[in-house]
Amino acid sequence: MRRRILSLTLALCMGLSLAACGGKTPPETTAASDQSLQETTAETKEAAAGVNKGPVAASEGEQKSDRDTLIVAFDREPATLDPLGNNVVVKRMIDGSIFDTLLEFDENLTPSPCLAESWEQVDERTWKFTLRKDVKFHNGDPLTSADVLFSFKRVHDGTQGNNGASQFDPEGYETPDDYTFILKTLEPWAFTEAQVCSEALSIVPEKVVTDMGDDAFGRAPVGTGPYKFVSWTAGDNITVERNDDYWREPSILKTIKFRIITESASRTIDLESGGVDITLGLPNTDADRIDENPDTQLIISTGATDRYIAFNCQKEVFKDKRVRQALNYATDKEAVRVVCYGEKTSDVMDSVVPNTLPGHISDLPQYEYDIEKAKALLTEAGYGDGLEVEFMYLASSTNNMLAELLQQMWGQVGVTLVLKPTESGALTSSLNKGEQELCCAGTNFEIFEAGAGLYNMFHTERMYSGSARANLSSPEVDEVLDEIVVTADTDKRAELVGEAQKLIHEESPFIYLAFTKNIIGASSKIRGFVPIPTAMYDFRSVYFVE
Amino acid sequence: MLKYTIRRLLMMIPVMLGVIVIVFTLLYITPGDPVDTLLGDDATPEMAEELREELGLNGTYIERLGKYLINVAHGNLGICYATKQPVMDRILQTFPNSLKLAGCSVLLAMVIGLTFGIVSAVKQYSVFDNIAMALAMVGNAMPNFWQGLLLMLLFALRWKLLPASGFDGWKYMILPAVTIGTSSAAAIARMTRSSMLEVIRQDYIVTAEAKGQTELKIIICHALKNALIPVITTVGIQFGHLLGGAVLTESIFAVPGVGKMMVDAIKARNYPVVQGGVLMVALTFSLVNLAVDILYAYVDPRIRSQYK
Repeated sequence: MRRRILSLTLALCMGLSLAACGGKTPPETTAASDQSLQETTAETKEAAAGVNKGPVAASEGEQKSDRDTLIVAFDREPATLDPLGNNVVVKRMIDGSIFDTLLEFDENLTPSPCLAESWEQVDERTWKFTLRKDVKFHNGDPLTSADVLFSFKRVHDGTQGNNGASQFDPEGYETPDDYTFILKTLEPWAFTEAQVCSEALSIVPEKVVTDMGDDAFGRAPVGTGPYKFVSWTAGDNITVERNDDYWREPSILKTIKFRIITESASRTIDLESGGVDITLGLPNTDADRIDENPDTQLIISTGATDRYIAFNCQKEVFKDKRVRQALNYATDKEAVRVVCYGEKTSDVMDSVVPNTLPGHISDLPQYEYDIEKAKALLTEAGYGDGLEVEFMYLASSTNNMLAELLQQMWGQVGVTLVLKPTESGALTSSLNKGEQELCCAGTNFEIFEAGAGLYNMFHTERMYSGSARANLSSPEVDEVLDEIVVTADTDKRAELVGEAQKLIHEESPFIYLAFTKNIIGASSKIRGFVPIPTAMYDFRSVYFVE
Repeated sequence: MLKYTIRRLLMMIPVMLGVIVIVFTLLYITPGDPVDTLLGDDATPEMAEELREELGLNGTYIERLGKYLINVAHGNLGICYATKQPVMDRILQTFPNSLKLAGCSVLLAMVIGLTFGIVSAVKQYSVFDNIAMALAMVGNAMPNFWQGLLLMLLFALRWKLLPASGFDGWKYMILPAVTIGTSSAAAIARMTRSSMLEVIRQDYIVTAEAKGQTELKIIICHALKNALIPVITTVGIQFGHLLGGAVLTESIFAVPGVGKMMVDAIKARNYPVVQGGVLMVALTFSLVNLAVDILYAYVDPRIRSQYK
């Protein structure tokens, strides 16, 4: 018996000492991994706008290293690299190195020349683009307007779910000569230039795509970008190498290996141990660790991403604006932001338009945390005796924390929150059918046009679609949004965007939680990485120092 | 023996049929629609409908199941919704990786498990036995994901001896193999010990000792051979489990194996890949079981005689 007790004690001690070796890291990293993996599989998309904290210029006396392979880790494998495939961050980023678009966003989020050296608006529906004459595809074929025409037309034909050219007239494209491309919109459309910058409208070679077929092209793409596709090992990595004939300055590094590491804890450890050089989508819980580690550097860029609780305005209980406002008052938003999204890695959300976009207004009267007001509004709405609502959310550590916080806060005003953590595949389907009463979501303003984002989130026409989680239907809001999309004048548009924000704010379809930032971890030996706003990072200027 | 093998192979058909029907039904009743994850936020309802039609998701349960069974009977496991590759291609890409990993782990588990088990039995209640069995308990109790991260922190981050994740050569196999091999080693060690303890008390061992044979010879030739049957069963089951059950470990160490492929597919409601993956794992499991049963005959003459 004594021996048995001894061996049991021994076993226990070993277990404890093993746990101690890991320090505090394992539980934390496990939780974080779950969060990041889950969150990126949801409808939420990440991007960045404007640099808050960047490295990454070489300082004096630093010796450039001759390492020429960059390893970038990301969290999920794209289904295809065809620009028309499902629009996920990973694909956008890799495609950003393989393809070019006619126009691209500069650091001020303004469309600027790329494959089109110049462009002009001929009339309110017609745009004319003049192409560069020195551009070649990776297979050596020159770029002509026929390829541009083909690339735009296939967006209309595709069943791949990319609707990025829905405002363009499929019959209105013209190619008067090899280097001129004319585009017509169905109606006057304010976001044409921004739309042309989108990755879905990357220019692909007509001949190659026709010969290979869409599916095969998506597995081995050919573009005009700074890197040529080399290989794709399913579940492991996608490798590209420098295009020495690039029409701009070619890349410093020869090879980039995009590694797929779904577990965020593993991604962080791989960065710290030198297995990868850049980690995208770092969980905010790991930010401090990466910042403090002398071997790594933390790069934070402010994003164009909202995080919010969306009331399903089509559900009986939330048709009453007073209930939506009451729950807004009942939520301590700052506490939620700090706990769930990190103080350093998020900004206070004060409107539906991210603070980095033109048109954002910051003087809206906020729903300050006020339990008495919340109670009064609920009583007025007939829920003085209590109310039970169901909160559907993606099961992740961040969202679990959020759910518990809300449950506790709302309990104080007599609202019982029934938690319904859901796995990503089932969640999207439920949300698209509008089955939820409440959900938490994020929206990325992908083409950096506040008006376009607002249209997708709040126009009646977009109800039950990917971005419209509140399913708001308000004739006043619709009217302003309809006007925004046909207003070409930037100042006038910004004014209308302001007006729309006020109207939407008054409707309070959301509880604002945070503007989240994009967090990137990099090796301390990396220089020249520019965290550009679009998250379609340009790795051309990246290099290593000794 | 041949007749037995053929009979066992034929018996696998209803097993596979059962697996297909169960997995198909489970996926059918699981909420979620592959079209929602395949299409982007911008997709219109018309696009969704078109894709649903294209993927054959509009039929009734019976129609779809029937169609799938016919396809499988023709060796066609379907097309991956996401990459549009045949599912068989995806399995052929990932399965060898899982096989390698499972093979390495089982080998490791056998070496450690058998050694510890034998020594523990022979030196019952010694300090070694106590430590070995305590270790076995810890090994069995440690969750894989926790152990994986711990090993990664120590060997990759702190001591920088091994790569943290990936699958690019033998160095990359060590940590995942140890992670998933630990609990198998523990199970094998415990099984070997108890089985050996039973055998070394038998009269024929005493006889061997009385004949003046060396201890090593007695253990290897007389005791171990007779103690192996339950151990082989354990190894076989462990191998089957490791093939399909290394899901978490494959995700943590970014091993592009069949387990990770299935998890990703489940999230995206990529039905054909989940079905194909489970079918493959079930098939391997059944084949390993068969191999174990055949192996009995070689190890134990009593069983061999029953086959004749």
